[in-house]
Amino acid sequence: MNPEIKNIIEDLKEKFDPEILNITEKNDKRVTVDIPGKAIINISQYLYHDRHFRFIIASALETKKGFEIYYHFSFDRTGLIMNLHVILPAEKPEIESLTGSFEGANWIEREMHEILGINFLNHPNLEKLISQGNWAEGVYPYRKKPLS
Amino acid sequence: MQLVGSIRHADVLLVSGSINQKDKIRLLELYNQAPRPILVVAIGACACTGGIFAEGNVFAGPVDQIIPVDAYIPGCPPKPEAIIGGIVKLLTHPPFDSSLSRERGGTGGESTK
Amino acid sequence: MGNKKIIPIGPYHPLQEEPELFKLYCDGEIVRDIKWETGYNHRGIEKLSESKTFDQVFFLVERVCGICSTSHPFAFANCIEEIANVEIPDRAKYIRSIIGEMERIHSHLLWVGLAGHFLGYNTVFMWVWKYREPILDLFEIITGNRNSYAMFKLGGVRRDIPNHLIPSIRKILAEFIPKLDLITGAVMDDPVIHARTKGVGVLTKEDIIDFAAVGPTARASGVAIDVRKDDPYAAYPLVNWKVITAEEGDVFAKTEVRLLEMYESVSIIEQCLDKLEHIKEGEIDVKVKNVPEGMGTGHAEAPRGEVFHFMITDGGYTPVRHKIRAPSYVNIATFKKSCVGQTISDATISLAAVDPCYCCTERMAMVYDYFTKKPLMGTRELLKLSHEKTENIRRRI
Repeated sequence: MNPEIKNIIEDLKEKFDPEILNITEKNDKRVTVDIPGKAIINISQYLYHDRHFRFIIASALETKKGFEIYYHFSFDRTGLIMNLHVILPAEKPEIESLTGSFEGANWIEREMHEILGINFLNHPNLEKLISQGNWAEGVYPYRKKPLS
Repeated sequence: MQLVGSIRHADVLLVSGSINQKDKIRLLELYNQAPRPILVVAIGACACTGGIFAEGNVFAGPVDQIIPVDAYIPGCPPKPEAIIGGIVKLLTHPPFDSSLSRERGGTGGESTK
Repeated sequence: MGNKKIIPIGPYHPLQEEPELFKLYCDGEIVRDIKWETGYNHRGIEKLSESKTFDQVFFLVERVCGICSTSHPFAFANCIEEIANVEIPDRAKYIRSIIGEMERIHSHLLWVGLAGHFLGYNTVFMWVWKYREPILDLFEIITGNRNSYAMFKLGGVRRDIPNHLIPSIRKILAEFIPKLDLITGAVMDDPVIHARTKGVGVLTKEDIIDFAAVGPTARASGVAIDVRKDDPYAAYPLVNWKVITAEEGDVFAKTEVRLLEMYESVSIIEQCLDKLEHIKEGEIDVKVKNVPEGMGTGHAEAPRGEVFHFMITDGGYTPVRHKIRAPSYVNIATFKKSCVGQTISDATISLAAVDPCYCCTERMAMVYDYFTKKPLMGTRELLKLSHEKTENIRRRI
């Protein structure tokens, strides 16, 4: 494995130890880190500010475990894509917003809120992005039961 | 053939692409603002039938469920030759119950939903 | 509230090929804030994807956008081949890159033409689009269509480029280069264009990183990111080419980057054609039995930047979740920085400079038709303002 990537992963484990629930290293270029929702700000800030990762986007979906979000970061120098994976409880899906750390997260959090009803705490303006006029208030089309 | 800046100067309304709930409102507004007679052409598979997006959750119906359509140009996307051919055909042979004949005292009434 | 006027651009406007609504909050002549109301192109593609088989998804994502019609299948192919752990044959790699680079050329040409139109250079618009036609004809020769080529499939490409076609492809490209020289010279040396685009719509390196912008928008501000170099795929690591960057981050720099990228694209295509001639025709795909359970991320460098696809599978025939992020999604957000503080007449070219593709952004997007004769509504005032400014500058110089 690329020594720089190895170093980043070791650093992550060391700095954030109890919160790194699991690391899946498919290869040098694809790594997924499972973390609890409350750790998202610290770890993403570490990747973004300290290690100069680029935020690509976030993907959210509803599964049997609850609401899952994958935050995708890119380390362009080596082509690494690192996914931070959080699982939020089905009854109360909420997580801190990353918009305070970098503006790139603003719109996607609004969208995840619109399609799945996930709440992003302290988001500057969680208003509608794509759904105004396209579907009703309180409807979350990507949920298994959209009207819940 | 000239592209004009406002619907009020138009003789032909070309509608392409799939219509979602938001577009539907605007499309109706445009159609109502259009001076009569106006010919409406649905360009592309999405405008004609909904195409590949017909099962989407925001699809608001093919164009002819929203406003009356005088000509359909299918294709995904239609070749330029097809679009030109379709419009020429429409202008030289307007269909029997098109808006042109409607406005000239045919059976009135629009089938908007 | 004071003197603030609200000028709507849209939802259907001559300036834009696709419908969407920008609200510029102006204080006299200066833009103070921008709001972007979107949703007109939303088609629910990500959800639709869950009900389509993997082969059908290629056709679906191709129609996310008409201009970058190859980039989405490219990124999706990278994504699904990662899950299925498939290595495609060399011939398929070269063909994929050729199609990808041809698309880059036609997309950048389209943009240069539109930018010319916004600035009031309708001759530039007409000539550039005329020189674009041979590229579209080339697409038709190779793939059968001017856009939506249906060339990609899981495991390779659907159609071969027969070796006997290669001399005619080379000829068309050779004829294209002097036209590109003409366009580049006309645009880069014109003092009025300098006056209209230098220092306008500036994005600093910090802005780019904050908004996570990608593509020529980022490269024009000195941020040298390009998926083809950072995480190489297809034939890009097998040929020689360089990443084009500029430093100033203004509209001129973005134009320069796009023009020079076209030369690189032609060079890449020619190198791929050289290689193709020596590979046996016909080996263009590998058979894939099924897509296992797993998760994949795939990205590709579209003309506008990085297209990113993420998919989760469960061993069945359809995706469990398919996330698509087009480059315009992150690039358009930079309007807040590049347009605010400008005059209204500059706002329009600043908006256009990131080459926004609304269909990609609302990927749930719409097919972009070449002859987008969308219903037009609203005023032409903004375009007129931009043209007037150009005239004034021209008179002064």
